[in-house]
Amino acid sequence: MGEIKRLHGRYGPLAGYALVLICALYASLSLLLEKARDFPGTAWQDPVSLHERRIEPLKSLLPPRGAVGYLTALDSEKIFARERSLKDVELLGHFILTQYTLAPVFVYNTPDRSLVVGNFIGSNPDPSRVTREGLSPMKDLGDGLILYRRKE
Amino acid sequence: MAALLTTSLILPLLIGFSLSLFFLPPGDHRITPLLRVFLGAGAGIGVVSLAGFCFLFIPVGSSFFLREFALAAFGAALVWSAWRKGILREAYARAGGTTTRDRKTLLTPLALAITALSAAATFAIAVYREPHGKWDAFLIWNMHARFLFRSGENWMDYFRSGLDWTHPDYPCLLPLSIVRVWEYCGGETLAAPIAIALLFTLLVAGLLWTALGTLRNNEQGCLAAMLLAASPLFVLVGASQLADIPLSFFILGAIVVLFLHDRLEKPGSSAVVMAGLLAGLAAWTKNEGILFCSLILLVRPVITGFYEGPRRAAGEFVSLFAGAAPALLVLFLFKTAIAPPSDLLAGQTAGGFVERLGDAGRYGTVLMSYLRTGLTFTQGIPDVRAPFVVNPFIPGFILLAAYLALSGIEKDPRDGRGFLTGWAVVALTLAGYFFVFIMTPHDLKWHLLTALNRLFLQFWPAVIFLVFMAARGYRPAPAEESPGERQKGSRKAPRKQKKGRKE
Repeated sequence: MGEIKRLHGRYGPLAGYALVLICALYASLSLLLEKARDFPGTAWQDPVSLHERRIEPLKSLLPPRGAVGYLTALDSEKIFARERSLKDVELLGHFILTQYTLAPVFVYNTPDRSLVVGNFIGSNPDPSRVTREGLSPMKDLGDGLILYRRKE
Repeated sequence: MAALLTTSLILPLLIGFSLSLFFLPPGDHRITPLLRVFLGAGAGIGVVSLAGFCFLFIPVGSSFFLREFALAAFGAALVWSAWRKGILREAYARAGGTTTRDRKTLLTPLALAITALSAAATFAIAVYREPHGKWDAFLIWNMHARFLFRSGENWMDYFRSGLDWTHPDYPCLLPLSIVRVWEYCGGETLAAPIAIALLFTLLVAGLLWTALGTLRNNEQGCLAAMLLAASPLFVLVGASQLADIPLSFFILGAIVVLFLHDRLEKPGSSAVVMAGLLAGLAAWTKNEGILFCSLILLVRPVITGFYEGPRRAAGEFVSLFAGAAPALLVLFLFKTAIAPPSDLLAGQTAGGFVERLGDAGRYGTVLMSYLRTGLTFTQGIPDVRAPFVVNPFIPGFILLAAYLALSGIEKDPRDGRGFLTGWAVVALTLAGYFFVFIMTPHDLKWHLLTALNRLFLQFWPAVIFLVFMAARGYRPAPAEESPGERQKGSRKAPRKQKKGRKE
């Protein structure tokens, strides 16, 4: 027991030092290698930049301040519910990025405003739902992005 | 652009450095200018953001110039006063013998340099791939900055907008810091949030390195900074532009300053005021910081009371509170008059809380998640689809425990209160989070999965600091005198310590 204690006292700190040194280098370099595998990729092709560029043309059609509604393939509660159940973050992501791009205009996740942003990536707007909500297309910006106006 | 960005950081650095001179006077504290720079830069950014919030109420046309003029005047007054009192010169004159740099090995600094370069490259790649940061960066922090910057004098509208999913109740240190850089740059640039994220990541690692270099030795400082820089989650969250790294800076800073205070032969109260300031800024960074700040305000005086009696405890409470007061005042104004209620409280009933509190299954779920996350959180951003895998070779609690077990414990007797405060605050904050999870109105598994690893990360630098403060450590060069031996009056002290080193 005394011998173990003596050896620990003598070599323990060196072993601890070596352990931290080796593990830190291993962890740091392996993380770098893992990230470097994806490099260089294409600059500004991340989902946020892409979505911003897609939404940007809407800005000129909206008032500088105020609020707009939002319409997509799913009802608003379902978008948040799908994210909470960790099933799908895509639709919520699109909504968030629409708000992120259009700030300081407030984007509400319901279609009950006089101007409504329709965001339909990979899907088409349901004409019956659009009619039911009392909306008419004001400008189709392509790529599933449509600005609606509420019918008087 | 780079010049304007750098210019925007001069005032916070100047103010923070000067504050560190006043609150940690060089006559008492023999600490390196570099430690002051790391500590001061973060504190300066925080103080400037407090001013930024106050000046939001001034009509938009003149607020920028008025604010910057006021800050410049404040900074100049601090520097002039420091110069007049001779503190500035003393800080550099006394800094020489503060860290033990009498090592004969280059291995540790070399390994630290490799780790730092590797972390910097990883950070750069992560930023290149996701220049807007991760989910919470564009959902919360950068979004808030955009609303504040783009709304002009109507900035308050956002907080009344009902966009609760963007968390408008979160404190404003980070968004206001980004806005200030945008104002300097003359418009929005992604370089601003990236630069602030990079700066705080560097500051945390730098503070850990220099604080341990001062309080223990340079070897321990290098090793601890390496361990932190090699923690994947630390680098990735840093590059993600989230507020967790700035919060971890203020948590670490408050604990470090309390250790510095306890090393004084005749401790005054100024260092405690500085610790209070940093704790207050933690509260102004994130809601979690409010719990940390409250706990440090309560725990530290109680511990001091046990050591030195109630009078001294009351004095420490007053000093801590005085330091935290500016940030707490601004936070109080923000929370009561501007921000909507927190999503954790909004629409909740006492019955709902009681029901969740009595649900035994929730305790098991949270406990299990604490255990799993505790073992793996540093390994990277969690992937819900990936299986639970523990890699003990990646810096984390397992490696830290192994290091402590191998290295052995050797504490300076003067650090008792610092250790008690540090560990008590860490433990109580994690216990507090535990009950927040028990009572959360959100889906429990979702909440744990999306938040717990970052909550652990907020304390990771402070935990590394506390462990390395206690570890004996390896001494490759001529054996350095241990703190214990120093107390016994050993005559083998290195020359630099004989010159009257207090730490």
